[in-house]
Amino acid sequence: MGVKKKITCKSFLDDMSNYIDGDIPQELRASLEAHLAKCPECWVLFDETKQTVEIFQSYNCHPLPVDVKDRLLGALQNQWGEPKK
Amino acid sequence: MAEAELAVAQQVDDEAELVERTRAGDRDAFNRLVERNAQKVFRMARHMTRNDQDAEDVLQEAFLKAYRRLDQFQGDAKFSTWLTRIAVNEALMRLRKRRNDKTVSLDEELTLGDSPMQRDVADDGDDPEESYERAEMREILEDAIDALAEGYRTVFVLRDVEGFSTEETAEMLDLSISAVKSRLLRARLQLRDKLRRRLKGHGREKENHV
Ligand SMILES: [Zn+2]
Repeated sequence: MGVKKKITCKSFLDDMSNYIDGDIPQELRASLEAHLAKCPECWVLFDETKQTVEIFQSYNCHPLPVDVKDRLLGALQNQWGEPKK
Repeated sequence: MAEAELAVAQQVDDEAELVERTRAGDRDAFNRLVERNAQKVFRMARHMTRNDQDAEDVLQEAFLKAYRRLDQFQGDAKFSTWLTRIAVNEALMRLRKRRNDKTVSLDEELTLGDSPMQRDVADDGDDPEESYERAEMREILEDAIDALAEGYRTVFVLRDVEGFSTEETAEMLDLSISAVKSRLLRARLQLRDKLRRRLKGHGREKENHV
């Protein structure tokens, strides 16, 4: 208790994903941030990985094609046994 | 996009209320649930199955099942989460079936090279006026996910694209928490390697003001 975990580049990598998700105890977070402040390699890796996650979240991949949506509505109508009004 | 959001906000379409109305026999209410969730379900299914036809089958099956099982839906979860779980299970079943049916490795059946840009996109798509540059980048992202091995891809899609928690993802995929975490890290690192060149451009664009 009170002893800060020694962060190496290897141990940083193990915790990086949790750190990106904010899923990390406060004390460990402080240690990771101290490592980031003095290790440019880990900082670049962290920054690029975080950007990678963000970029996937900012693009709407695989937009729904109109014909696919129409066939879905058709399949539901079929199940209900009624013509689409 | 802002207009679409406004339109959605103006509808009386609290999901819980739409579910109640569907249960009372209002099919339009269910159609409204379809409108709201079809894009999300299709995206997840297409990411997971890497195949347009499977994605469409998953989409239809998920909504048909959701409708038939609506009386099993408990109000303590969100409808969209419940529906997505049904769809995830459908997608996983298809992946399993494909694995058993075929001796071909998954990587060999990649359906790259079809051109999604040429297809008409449903008018409730999030981004009706997608620029050429964004469409190009989107395809790069889609291909990057397609190129991940299945074990990494499913975890990445559920965690980072769909926003399920580590615990929910572990439960759906029948994996340990630590397996989900380590696969997520590997998926993220692989995607970062694939996108590295692009990221720098993307970052610079964002930081022009510096
Ligand atoms: Zn380091």
